[in-house]
Amino acid sequence: MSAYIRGPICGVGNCPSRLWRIIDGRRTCQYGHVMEGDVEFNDEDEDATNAGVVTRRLNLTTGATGNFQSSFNSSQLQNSQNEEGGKKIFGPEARLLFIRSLQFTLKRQSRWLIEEQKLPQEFDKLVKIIWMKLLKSLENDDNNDEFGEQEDGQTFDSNEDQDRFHELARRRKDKNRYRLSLVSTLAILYMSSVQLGIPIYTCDLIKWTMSGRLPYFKSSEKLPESWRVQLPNYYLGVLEGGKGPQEGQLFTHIARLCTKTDFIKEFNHRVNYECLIFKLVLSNVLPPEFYLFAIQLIRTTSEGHDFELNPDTKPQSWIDLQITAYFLLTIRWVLMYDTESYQVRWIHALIQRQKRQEVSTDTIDQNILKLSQTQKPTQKVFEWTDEEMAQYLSWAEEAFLPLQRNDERLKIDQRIAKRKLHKLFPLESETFNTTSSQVFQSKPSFLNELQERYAFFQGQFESTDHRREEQRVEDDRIKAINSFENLITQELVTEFSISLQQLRLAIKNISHRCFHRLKQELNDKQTSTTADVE
Amino acid sequence: MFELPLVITSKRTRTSRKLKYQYINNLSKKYDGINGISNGQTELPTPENSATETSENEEVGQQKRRRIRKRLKSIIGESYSDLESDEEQPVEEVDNEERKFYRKYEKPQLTFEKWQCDPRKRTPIQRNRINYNRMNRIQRHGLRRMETSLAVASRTNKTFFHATTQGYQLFDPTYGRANTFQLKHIGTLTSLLHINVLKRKWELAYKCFALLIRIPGVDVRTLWGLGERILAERQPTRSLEFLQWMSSVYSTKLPFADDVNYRMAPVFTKGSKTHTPKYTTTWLWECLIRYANGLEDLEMDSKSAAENFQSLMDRISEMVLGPPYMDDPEVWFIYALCHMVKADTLSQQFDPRLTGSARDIASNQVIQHIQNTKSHLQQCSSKGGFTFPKRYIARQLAAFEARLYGKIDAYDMDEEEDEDNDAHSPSDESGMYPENLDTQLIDSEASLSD
Repeated sequence: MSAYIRGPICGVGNCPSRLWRIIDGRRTCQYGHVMEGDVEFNDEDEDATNAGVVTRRLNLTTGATGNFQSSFNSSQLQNSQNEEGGKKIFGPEARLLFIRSLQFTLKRQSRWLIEEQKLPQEFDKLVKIIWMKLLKSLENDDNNDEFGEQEDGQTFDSNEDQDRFHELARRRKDKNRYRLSLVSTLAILYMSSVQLGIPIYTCDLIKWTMSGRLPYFKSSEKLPESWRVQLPNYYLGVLEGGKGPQEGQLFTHIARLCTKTDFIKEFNHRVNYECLIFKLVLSNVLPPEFYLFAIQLIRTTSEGHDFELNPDTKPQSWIDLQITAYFLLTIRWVLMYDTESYQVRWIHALIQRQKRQEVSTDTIDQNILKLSQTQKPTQKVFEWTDEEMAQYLSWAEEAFLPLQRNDERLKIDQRIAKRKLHKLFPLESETFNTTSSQVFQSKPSFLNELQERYAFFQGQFESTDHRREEQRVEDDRIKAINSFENLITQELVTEFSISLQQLRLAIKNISHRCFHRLKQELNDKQTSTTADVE
Repeated sequence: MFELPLVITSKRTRTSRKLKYQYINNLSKKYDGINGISNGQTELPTPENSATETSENEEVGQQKRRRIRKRLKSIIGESYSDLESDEEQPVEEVDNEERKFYRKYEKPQLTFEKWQCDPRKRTPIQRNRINYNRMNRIQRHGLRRMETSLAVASRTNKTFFHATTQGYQLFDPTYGRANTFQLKHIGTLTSLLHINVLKRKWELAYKCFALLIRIPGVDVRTLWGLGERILAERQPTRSLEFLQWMSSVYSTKLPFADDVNYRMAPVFTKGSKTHTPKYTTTWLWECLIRYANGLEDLEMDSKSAAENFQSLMDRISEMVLGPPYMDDPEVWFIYALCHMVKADTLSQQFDPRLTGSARDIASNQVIQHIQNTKSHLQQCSSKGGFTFPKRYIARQLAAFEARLYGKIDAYDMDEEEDEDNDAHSPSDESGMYPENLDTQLIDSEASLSD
């Protein structure tokens, strides 16, 4: 019976013993004190199960403080409870910590962009400058708020007006909220890239975000442990990411941050529209002349300040949206007008998209984005081929799974059990079948894929029957154009994560603007074109 | 489309449920009051004899005590022995309104599809009518009691509550829909898992499963069936390990809470004092069949197969010492079959040329196994609720026994033939070889018991 186990200090009557042994099924210390609430019993004893006592025979493990993991001692209970209390912080302190957490996330994001997307080192500094400006404006808000509160106190005594009181309360509440979220970090990244003239647009940021590459979702898990313990749950929820930017949230955030940081006055806020147009032309497999058409249209119908970031939150003034609207209008008008060079079958060939098996990482990200934006993902999943499934699964392994946290709060027994389970189901690429791992390795670059796409389009175009073509009437042409436009519109809506209405509104607005300016400048020529269009 | 393998509860849904059940409870209380229905408060006192069967109230008290204990433990960050059901956690916080409601209804624990078809247990349909005035009174009363909790509820919850009390159903597009990034991808993975299992593409399905169990919050207990199947396709021995893992990690001996509305029939996710969890029975069946086949299979290492089989028997013999296996006829039946398989193999190996004490020992072994089989089957049928072909098994046992005595004279005959003849005479209707007989039997039983 000399088998002592080291455990917690006994503590009964200041007993200093740390050594425990088991006598008659009860844990007893060196000097014979019986540990409270720790009884070992037989399984046959039915009542004992009901008594709610935890039995332990095997795996006696001790925690970091030397306590037995499986049992607890009521004399030590109090201290632990005191330690536990007051971990979460609230009020202004919590807000400060939240801002710090956001800053932490922003830093990780900009580091990712620099490392993975090879942005210049200055990008980091610029992000910092914008963030500082934002912080300054928040500070000003806070100061104003304090003055305001003092005033409120005075006026409130003299004036018992209920409505006024509510109004003030609401305003104070609004001020207490910074209206910051993870989307704001994306907005800051976008603004910095505009300042530097880097061709990164909202669609890129959204794509990287939704495919889990850019640190965004679950960023609460990556915070330092001590911060996460202290942050209130509400802020943790905000830092979780939720659905990602929806319905042009990103644009409204950009607009709001523009006002807050005085972006327009101090920074280069002209968006580089040429690159976005080029990108759109390529990704829709259009011939290069469309790029020229679109640029021409923009140059003739816009003024200098049209493509500058502005604090307006209406959809028609979002820059990226304006550019896409121009692009869509160009396609429509050119296809409508030029019946000679773009025949109906050409448009039909354009609509057909190739289902390719070897795709670049970029396209996979795009597909993930599309999946995340659809309302009914399961329906899509049913139509997937094996390769697509394998692609999705390898994406989940390399991008989605790392986002998940290893739950450190698990008890030791649970962790052991979990590890055992994971050992039963190992997740190595070699256990996966070989064909898919080949696909995984031989991912073509985006450029190769683009060439393939153009080649496919060419083949598609040439394979169509010429003679059947001539019987097609003008109606058919409009139908084809419409369906092509719908296709592009759908894709753009998901890529920029805006709603269809917002895009429509922007298109309407831009087309009005175009007509207006064309009317002004090209009085003689324009009559014929508009007649065609309408 | 497929149910997500995790519990989604938000504060909003929890509160709305709480409000709903609080209201229902209020209404029914008032209704009972008006109609003079006693609501179980004045039930007969529990007789002394059945004091061991803890009464409902006591059980609730115990649950409460247990919960407090658990809470204290989670506060000090110390281990609680099992991975206790996460499912229960949200329900507990409902302040028991939901549990109070569900306590009135019997919820079958084995499945959710229990139909009361015994004519003696019929209860008359309630024919009490209620007039409009009275109904209004009850409603008003119910609402009045709700005032405080409604005052602190959020606006959405209030809307939800008022709509449901008026008999409307609120269409909430976000309710239960997986719309966050995390849930969407978990949903996709789940559907991929089901689709691939359906298409029998085990590699892909395996990957889905392996990914899913690594995501925190995903409950293996809702997926173990699929996981076992997938693993059985890839590495058959591993699947037994998995089942063993399940039954060692998730088995508890705590009684089921009567008043919790479980999402899945609780026997599929955990055991209790009175119910054997399904994964444990699956595990035992799988072990029995695999190991028995291993004994028959000449290519396999007969020694390791025998060892495996012996270890299975040892394990079951330990298990049946305590609840819940003690009272489970299925486990007893499996135990009996183990002995039967053992008797079969031993009687086949029996060498009729042996003489003296060696012969006695060998035959005694077989007899003992046969006796054990019979006594365990006795146990099994005494527990009730489990049917098996008694006469068939009895005939088989007789055949095993006959091998010991039947062919004393014909010791010149080839052993193979010897067994064939033996087996044919009693089980002429099936005409199967004795090697296959046991496993065949087990298979059919397995399908029966499922």
